[in-house]
Amino acid sequence: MNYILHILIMIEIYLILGLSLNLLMGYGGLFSLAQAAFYGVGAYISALMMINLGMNFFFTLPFAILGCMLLALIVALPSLRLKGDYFMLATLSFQTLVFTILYNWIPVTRGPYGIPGIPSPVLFGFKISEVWQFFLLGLVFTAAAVYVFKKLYHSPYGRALKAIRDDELLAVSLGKNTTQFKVTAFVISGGIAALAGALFAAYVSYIDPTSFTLDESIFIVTIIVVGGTGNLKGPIIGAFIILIIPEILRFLNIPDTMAPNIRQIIYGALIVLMMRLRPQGLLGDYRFE
Amino acid sequence: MLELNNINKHFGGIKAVDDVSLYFTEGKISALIGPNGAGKTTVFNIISGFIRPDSGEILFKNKTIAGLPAWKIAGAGLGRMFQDNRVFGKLTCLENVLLAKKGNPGENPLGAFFFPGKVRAFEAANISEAKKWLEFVGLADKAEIAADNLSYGQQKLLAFARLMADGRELLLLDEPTAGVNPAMIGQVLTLIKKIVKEAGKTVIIIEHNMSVILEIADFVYFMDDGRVETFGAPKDVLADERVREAYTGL
Amino acid sequence: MVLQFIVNGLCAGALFGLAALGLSLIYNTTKVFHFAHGAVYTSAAYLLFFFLTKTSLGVIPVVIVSLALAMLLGVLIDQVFYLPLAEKSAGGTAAILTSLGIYTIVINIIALLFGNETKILRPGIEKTFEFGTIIVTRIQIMQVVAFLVLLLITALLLKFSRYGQLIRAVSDNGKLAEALGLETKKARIVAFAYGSGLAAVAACLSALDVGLDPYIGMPVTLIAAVAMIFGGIRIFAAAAIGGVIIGIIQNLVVWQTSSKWQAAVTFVILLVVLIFRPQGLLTPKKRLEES
Repeated sequence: MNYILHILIMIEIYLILGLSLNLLMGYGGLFSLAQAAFYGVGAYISALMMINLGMNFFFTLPFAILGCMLLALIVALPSLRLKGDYFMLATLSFQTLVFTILYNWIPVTRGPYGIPGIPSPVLFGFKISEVWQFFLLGLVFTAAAVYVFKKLYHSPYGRALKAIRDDELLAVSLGKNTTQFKVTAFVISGGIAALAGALFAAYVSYIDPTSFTLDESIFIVTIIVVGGTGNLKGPIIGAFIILIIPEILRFLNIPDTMAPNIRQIIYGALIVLMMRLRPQGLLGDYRFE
Repeated sequence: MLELNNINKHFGGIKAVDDVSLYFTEGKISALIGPNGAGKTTVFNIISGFIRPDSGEILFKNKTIAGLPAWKIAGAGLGRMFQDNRVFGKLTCLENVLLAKKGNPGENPLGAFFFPGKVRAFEAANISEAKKWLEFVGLADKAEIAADNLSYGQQKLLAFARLMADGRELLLLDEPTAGVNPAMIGQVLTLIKKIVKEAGKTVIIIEHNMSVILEIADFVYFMDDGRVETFGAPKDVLADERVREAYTGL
Repeated sequence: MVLQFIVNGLCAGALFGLAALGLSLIYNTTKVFHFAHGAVYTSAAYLLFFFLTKTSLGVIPVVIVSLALAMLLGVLIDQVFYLPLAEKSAGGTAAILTSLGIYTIVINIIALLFGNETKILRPGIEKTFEFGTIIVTRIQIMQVVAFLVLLLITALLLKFSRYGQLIRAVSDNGKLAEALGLETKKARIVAFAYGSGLAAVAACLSALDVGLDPYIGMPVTLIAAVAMIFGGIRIFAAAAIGGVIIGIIQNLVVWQTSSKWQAAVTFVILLVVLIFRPQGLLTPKKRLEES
């Protein structure tokens, strides 16, 4: 039972991450390889505040979210002037820079040694330490993320983003400050990813930089590529499928030394197949052009 | 309404716009004609801010707009229809027109969460106005249909509806009848005349179809090689030898 | 002392420059951001490893075979994966994602076949030469020589050979070239073959120098991408020179701080270039809307 709950918690975390990237790529049409950076920074801010300042998990959340939003703003302002490929490269370099800093700034982040002993969240004196309790906490976070994205999707803001995605020049000719829209999308996306990071840190109680690499960013991209972009159903099914795959491999008794490589091959193959056969993903309504 | 003074623009070694001065009167339909490559679309791009001129000034309603970002110029009351007639294909016709409205509080991402009442009210007003414009151009029954599913001519009408929303005073129409089947051209021209007469807009069109020019233009500028060669009433300009030479065969 | 670091940087940069030149040829001709360049790079190194250890062929024939197979791989990736997308005009993002997917697949297959650990091809001390206080190994000299020779050959081929001119025409204006009836499809094949070949040369030299592991491809590709943008995307030679400069800057940073910040250097350079001079150091400025 705990095993199933564990998988569901990971699905919750990656669903939140998938939704955050969906705002950027699916609504806004911006290809970003930096989600893992925000995921990681959110995790680290929350964990470090809990350990160094003895803060309650829930009080660290605003700091993690706002911290990542600020970081996203700093990255977005110069990068969003760039078009297409250049923007993607800027996000890629930013991702790698964040990883390098997390890995090498040992006095603050403890580098490769990671941060062990992250305490369990405490809510009104009630400690959240059992797996099923984390599952429920994750459910609340996921519901919050879904609510935010649903509201944005159906709002004039979401409509404007979709318009910019379809034809930026046309949107500009209608008086839309498209750069500002893209910046806000990037900032919101970063904040939501931070939420997933904080949840992850509290759940696994030990984090290190290797969870927040470029590969991880690509993994998050795979979720929405497979599941679909541009709406809400896509990331949900994407998270389910992508996270079930390693479990299926486990049942097939693939030796542990081979499993990670085979998993990566499957993810890579899924991206290639999707782009070839169904660029809008399984349930999405936006194809990558 | 709109004044261009001594505009120059070159790309690499080519002088695309050479010391061009133009004057467009309010409430009139003016036309820019000239052979391909004369610089007409470049002038449109410069006016609407997609290209920055090397030198010269542009006054819109007596305010300088040269150098402003394109979205700001659009926000000042300038509307543009593109040569390849762009629409937001995956959005419905209604959504296409809704997007044309400026100052929508719902376009602020915080709006949906912190002032939903204001957003809802604006949206309701926006929707009823948008429906009005769709009716004005004759697309009322297509409101919920994705723009991609319209015929080319209908997409042109949609572009007009979009331009009408939000009270833009100056409309730049780049080849509004291009690609429209001859049966519908009349409809488009009637619409343009209606727009000017009933809604008091000022229109500048780029056109290659001389009969269209003769039918609706009040004033014509003829450009060639980046320069304004001649201007005046349509009959006179079209009778000019230089114009006839440029359009030999047409 | 600093001179040694500059020389080290030059030799490392020679390899970056070759990879960058290859990537630049591919990107300019096809406008695809070929992340899988790293997969071709890694494959070349492992082909070298395979033939050297499993057969009794000498180094030179093994290098030639590895080069040929790597070039074939590059062309195959394009023909099987990128070309169909280009024909459906599914361009940009779909191609980059496909490229990332292919890279992941290829290097993980290599890891499955050969293992994740680093392999050294030539145990023992490499022959060194001394120039005053500077020490260089034989391989390092070969790297610089290979770079200079190949850069020269590439420049000459681009200027005078039929395919070189074809590539330059397609790079400048692909749609116009197609409209004029030029063999754009052939240009793709030549660009991918030649570009992959350059990467393969760099990979083999690097493998002979410091060894190999399945993950060497991505850092090299990223440095090649940065070098390309740094120098100016449209000018092929600029990518090569950009690679050398990055190699030197990286080593100077190592000299001043420590090798752990080495990777960060490349990306700081990229961010600075993207923000302040996105057209690269050698291309003149142009307004974004005008492109």
